[in-house]
Amino acid sequence: MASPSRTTIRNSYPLYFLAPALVIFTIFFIGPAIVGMQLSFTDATVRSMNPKWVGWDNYIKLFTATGGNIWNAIGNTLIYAVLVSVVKTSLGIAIALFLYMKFKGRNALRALIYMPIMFSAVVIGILFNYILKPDGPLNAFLKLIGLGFLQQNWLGSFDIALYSVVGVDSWVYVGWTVVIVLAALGGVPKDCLESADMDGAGPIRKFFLIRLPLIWGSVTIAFLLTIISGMKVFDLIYTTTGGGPGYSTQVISTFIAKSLGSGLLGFASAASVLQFVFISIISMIIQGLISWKARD
Amino acid sequence: MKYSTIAAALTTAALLLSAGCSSTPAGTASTGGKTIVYAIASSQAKYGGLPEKIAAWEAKTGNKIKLEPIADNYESVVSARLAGGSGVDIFAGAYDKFDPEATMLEIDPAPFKSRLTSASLETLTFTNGKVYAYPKPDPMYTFGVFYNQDVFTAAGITTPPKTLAEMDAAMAKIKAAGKTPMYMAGKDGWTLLQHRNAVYYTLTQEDPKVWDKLNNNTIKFTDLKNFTTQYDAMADWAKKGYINSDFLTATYEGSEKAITDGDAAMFIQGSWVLGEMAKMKPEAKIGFFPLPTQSGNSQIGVSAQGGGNHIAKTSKVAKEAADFLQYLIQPAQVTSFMETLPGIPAFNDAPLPNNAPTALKTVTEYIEKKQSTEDGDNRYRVPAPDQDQIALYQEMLAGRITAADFSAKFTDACIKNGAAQGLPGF
Repeated sequence: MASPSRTTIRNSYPLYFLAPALVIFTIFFIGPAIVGMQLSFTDATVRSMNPKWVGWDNYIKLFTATGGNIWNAIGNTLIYAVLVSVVKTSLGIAIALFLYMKFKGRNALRALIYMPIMFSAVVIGILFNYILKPDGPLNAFLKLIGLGFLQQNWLGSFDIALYSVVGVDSWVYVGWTVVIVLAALGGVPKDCLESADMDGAGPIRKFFLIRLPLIWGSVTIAFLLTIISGMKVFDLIYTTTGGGPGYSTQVISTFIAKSLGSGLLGFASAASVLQFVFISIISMIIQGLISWKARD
Repeated sequence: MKYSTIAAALTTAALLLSAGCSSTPAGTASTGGKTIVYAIASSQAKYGGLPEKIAAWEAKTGNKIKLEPIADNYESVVSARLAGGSGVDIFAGAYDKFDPEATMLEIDPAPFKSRLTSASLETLTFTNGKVYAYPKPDPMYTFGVFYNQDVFTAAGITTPPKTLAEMDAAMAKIKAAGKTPMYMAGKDGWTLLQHRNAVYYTLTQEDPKVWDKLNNNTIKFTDLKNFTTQYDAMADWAKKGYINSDFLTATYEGSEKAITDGDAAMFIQGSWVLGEMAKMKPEAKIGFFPLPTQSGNSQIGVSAQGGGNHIAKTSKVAKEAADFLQYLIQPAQVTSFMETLPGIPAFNDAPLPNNAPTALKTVTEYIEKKQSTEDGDNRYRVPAPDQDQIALYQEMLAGRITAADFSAKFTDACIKNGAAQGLPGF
């Protein structure tokens, strides 16, 4: 029988292996987050050398002294996050089902679908600024195929700029959802599908009654992570519209960036904390709904 | 044998390393050896042959300039570094973007005061009467209306408008002639703020003490008729279709091209565009006039090249930094800058070169005739909420808010920013 000290040591192995990662996570993530939260309760600016404690002042100003801009940013963030999640998840499932079939060139197509993720947001922003401009290739193509009535100022219209960026985001990052769903589809037992075939089930019934329930876990994870990344979106909005025109594509992240640009560190930190709380609440609600549905 | 070979190799390596560690460049007699960190906006890092001028000073003194280009949010990055004490010795920027008394070394202007034009010295003087900046070797700028003279002539306009009513009439003629009267590059939002800068010049006509009052928040922008009438006029231009329909996606480069090609008549910009447009299309005839006002009294202002060059208060190489900045503003260096980047002369002993664009000669005449005022952007203590102001311009030009809404929200944003910065009176 092993001595108690050896057992204790063996039981502590996970801690030893976790320790380096915990230290790095604390220094580079937890630490700055705590400093940020602390700053949010001060009047720190890039000009001031001695920030003073101001309590909840910055949080009150967020909701009362921005002319409604923060509410606009929260609203745009929600719309953006929900839309990209729904589009990417549904499109991702459809593309994954297609790419799961066996046909020539399947592997090349899979690589092509995933490739846009490898470009940086700056490159994508510059590219789509060109494609979507009023006299750009997209409008020219629409005119060519007789759909000239659909031509728009895609990134310069107050009404549709946000949805244009949703479209760009979906095109670029749908490959990520496709990969997750493809992996999940690979785990569906073939005998279930064969039994369904023998029972005369068509492809639609097989999908909804066999495939979808079995890949549901992966789909919900993909959906949840997409919503979270949608709520944190910054780079794509910044490089395509900059939060404009006006405030029509301003989201919480660009609101924070603009506050930082004015040198208001305390105020921007308060907006960051608000974003963190907002994302946490939404994520917990979605996770709760998913778990409740799974229990049912 | 083996050990002696190793020993010889190690000795040679040690000698080579010690030679490489020497900080005195070859060919210099000075003891030098100091490194000065110069934080510069990356778009300006090669202005006017700056790297060559730096190399010449380094060879002369034995000291080194470590140029650190900063791409985005220059003032925020530099402020953060100054606050953290992380080694910035020279930096640039308008006084309202920093805390001058806390971060900048006070400069004695005596060595260069007599060489500066009065407009240039005014812009380097902080609101407390002290100077915290060396002038830059690049020229100064003004803001106003730059126009294609051929388009004006073709539309039957023989003299530039002075009043807002004349401006409206001129725009109607240009539109009737099939050209875009006013080109705005809304995609590059900062270009819209050049109109704001030009509007600021008109405010002292209404009240010579306007900037003191705005700085103490005893008067608001909405109280100033010269301010509100300008935005009423601009909203009217948008309503009448005098502005390019794609202004929300039009770019700065596109605006310069539209003017030089004669597709559009005019735009409101800084005078740096003249050098750029001359390179784009040397034969284009570009003229200048100040932003028209209701009364027709014209005056312009000058911008001190973004606030001048400052020495950080915490710099340990302040003497060497001052020597470098003094070197940069010697007549030979300034003349060289003016030849590559024509602009308003900041120094009496470095006048406009003969081949400067005609419009610059017009601008310089205004200054010589004393039809100039202190630059508003430089006199206003409240850091401008630029992003909010850009958004407001876009919303007003798109007709989503009225000029009155614009003026109210513009004023509100400035007051809130002043309060957030803890400025007295806000």
